[in-house]
Amino acid sequence: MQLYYPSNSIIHYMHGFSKILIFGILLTLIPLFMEQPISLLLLLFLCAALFSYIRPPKTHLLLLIPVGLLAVMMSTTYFFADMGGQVYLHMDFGYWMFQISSGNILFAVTFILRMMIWSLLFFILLFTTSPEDLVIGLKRFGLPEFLTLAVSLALRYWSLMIFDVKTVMDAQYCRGVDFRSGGLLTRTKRFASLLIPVLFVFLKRFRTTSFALTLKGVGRKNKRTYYYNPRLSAIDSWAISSAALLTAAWLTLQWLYKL
Amino acid sequence: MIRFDNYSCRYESGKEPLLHTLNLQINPGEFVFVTGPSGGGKSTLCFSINGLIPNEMEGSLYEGSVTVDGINVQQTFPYDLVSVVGTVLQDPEWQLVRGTVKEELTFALENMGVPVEEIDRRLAQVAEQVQIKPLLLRSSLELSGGQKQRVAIAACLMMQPKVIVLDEPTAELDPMGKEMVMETICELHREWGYTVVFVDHNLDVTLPHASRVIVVANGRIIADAPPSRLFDQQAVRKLLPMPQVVHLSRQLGVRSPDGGDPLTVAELEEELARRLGTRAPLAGTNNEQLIRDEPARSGKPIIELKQVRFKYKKHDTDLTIKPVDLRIMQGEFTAIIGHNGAGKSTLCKLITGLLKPSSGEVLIHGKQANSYQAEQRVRHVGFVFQNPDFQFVRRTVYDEVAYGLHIQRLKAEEIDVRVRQVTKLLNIDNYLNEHPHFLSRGERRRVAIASILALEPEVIILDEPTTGLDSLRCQEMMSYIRKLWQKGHTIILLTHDMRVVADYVPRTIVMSGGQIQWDAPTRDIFAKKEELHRHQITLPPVVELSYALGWSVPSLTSEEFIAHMDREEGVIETAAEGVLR
Repeated sequence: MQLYYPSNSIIHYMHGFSKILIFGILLTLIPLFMEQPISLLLLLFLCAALFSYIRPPKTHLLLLIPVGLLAVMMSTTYFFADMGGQVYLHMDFGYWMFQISSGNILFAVTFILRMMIWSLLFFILLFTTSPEDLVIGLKRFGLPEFLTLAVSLALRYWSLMIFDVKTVMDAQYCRGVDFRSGGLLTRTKRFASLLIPVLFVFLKRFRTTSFALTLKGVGRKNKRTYYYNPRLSAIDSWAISSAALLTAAWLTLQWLYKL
Repeated sequence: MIRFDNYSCRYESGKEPLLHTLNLQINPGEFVFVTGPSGGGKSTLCFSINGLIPNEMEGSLYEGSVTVDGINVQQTFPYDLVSVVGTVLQDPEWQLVRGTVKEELTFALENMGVPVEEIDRRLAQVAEQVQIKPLLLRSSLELSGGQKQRVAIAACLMMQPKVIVLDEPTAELDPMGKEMVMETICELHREWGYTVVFVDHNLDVTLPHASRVIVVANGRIIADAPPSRLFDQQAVRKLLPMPQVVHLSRQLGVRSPDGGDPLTVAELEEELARRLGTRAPLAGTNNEQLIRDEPARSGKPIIELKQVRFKYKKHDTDLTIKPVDLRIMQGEFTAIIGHNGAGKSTLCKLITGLLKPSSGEVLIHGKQANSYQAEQRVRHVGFVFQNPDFQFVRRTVYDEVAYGLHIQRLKAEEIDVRVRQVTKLLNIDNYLNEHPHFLSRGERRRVAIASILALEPEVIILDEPTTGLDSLRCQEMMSYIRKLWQKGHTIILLTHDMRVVADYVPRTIVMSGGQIQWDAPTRDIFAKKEELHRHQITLPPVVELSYALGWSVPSLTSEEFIAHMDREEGVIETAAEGVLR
């Protein structure tokens, strides 16, 4: 499955550099400086509005489910520590404790909201930017060639790697290894057994890719040409200025009023 | 163009050389077909031409030299050779390193620092040469195997190399993909004069196109001859099974006017027509008397599919499997054929329980398939994947074969007995302490089959068991599979190799567009010549030849064909004698 899909939203037309700067850095920083759930909720609505504006396909929308579940599951860890506030329930299990308090709930809710905001921002970035544009954007930040190449290879192969892992699981299922039943330890052992075939398959695949890269001139010392090298447009300048202004305004308000 | 001077190479850690000292010259504009048994040194020869040996293969040592267009390959790093030698590797997916076709084509030139205007000029030229203009903006993930290899060839041509080296580029493709790649290469050789070094196992397909054949085995060049003279050499006859056309022509004692072997069905047909004189061949002769009886479908149904439908995503409007009804009887040997995406693998995944049908019933022994637990199901249906590497989880062949039995919690003594039985049957009992990943491709496949066979499933489904194997290993593999069938296992074979189907399998199911188009004895299936072509299925040479001679019922094997010809010639001779009297 490819994350990027072509469409005609303004965000789709923006330069990869602008999108990384706005959605990957500036807007990502803001939730870190938000302490009140209501402020985070407002930002979440803003992100959700932007997300619905890019009109992702149904299959892409489904990605929000595992992300949401992960956020909720991770937030439950706050209930195994004392985060202060009024205690509603407290249980001791020797070394472990479980507590529901106003502090724990606040931390958990803040965590979920931040996770959802960041997920939406990253989805906006990845759904609207082709791998090629993403790499060009990273290059503009001054990242070295090998790093941008690594990113582009990861974007090229991630879906194939997932497919390979799934095939390995299927092959093991056909030998009687059931990943859907058994206790936690049994399942963990069964999943761990996948590592060896996955590792061998990937080593062989990467060998081919390594040969292919060498045979395509990767590693040469000469200056590289960029066949596709889009320039920043007026939309980019406008979007970067707006995002920078919004970030600065929020940081000022946060500093003044602790919102 | 390419010159090997006293060249040999080996791994630092290895005792035996990968290539023994050899001298070889390949001239400009030649189409050289390199073939031979797996592990014989064909890829080493390729990698010595493009410089991956010794520069990318750590620990590889060499003596002598290889020069391409006057450049010493071993003293030049492969990335500096890209404008002299272009290489296409075997794996169509993982050798494409960029997201879209256009990016893939421009990538190497960007790395070489070629100006944008020049890249544009070459892009237009190559898109025309390889006819991939409509694909330029598409993602590599959306392409078929054949299209991917065409893109890989086009990416080579962007560097304007003088030599194109192709290392088994069609090994993982379906017949259509193979045809697409062969057409492209032949066109480049014929129209544009490229020097081509083509490594492959498929003699039936490649031999007619080559101008010269080099057979490599055990690191040595065993033969270097024109294709029509290749099998004049006894060493080659011992090493390589003949392509079907050559085999037939030799059995019938037919030679081309130049004294060589006919290489195509058309050439053999022409020679046969000449031999039969001006008399028209016995068009419509009935072949049925010569045909061995197909084993009747007997016994109880072991697998039944009733109105099974399937689609991968709930929101999809098109069904991947349209309503399918199918019965597989105990002890049957069935082939499922069809082009890529026809639904063969999906159907088998539904049978093995890897996928659940959207509607309909899959029954094993009359019981709902999903009522079996995974470990119960494997006793009824085993599935051997195309790539054995997906299966191996243990460090030795013994442990690997025993793995599934341990999951079933069998006693150690029983496990030992079963492991030894199946490894002996498949002739891998000498490798019990070897690491399965370090065996040859054919041996790895046999270990994969053994690990499923040890579970004693009644039905064994094999996905492309002969892909990537050389002709000899392919015959070996099929004789092992036939042995399993004769021992009473029900065999379902997914394959693109029509010669295997014609030679070994009595029942054939043709799938297309997620539907079973035909389900009949193999002979009846191959009797649908035109219909099969419409479904992109190529016929084995012997079947093509039967039709070319105007027979109403095709021969499926060389032996059948020869028996028919003997009878036909006998009839002609008798008729001629009658006229004389």
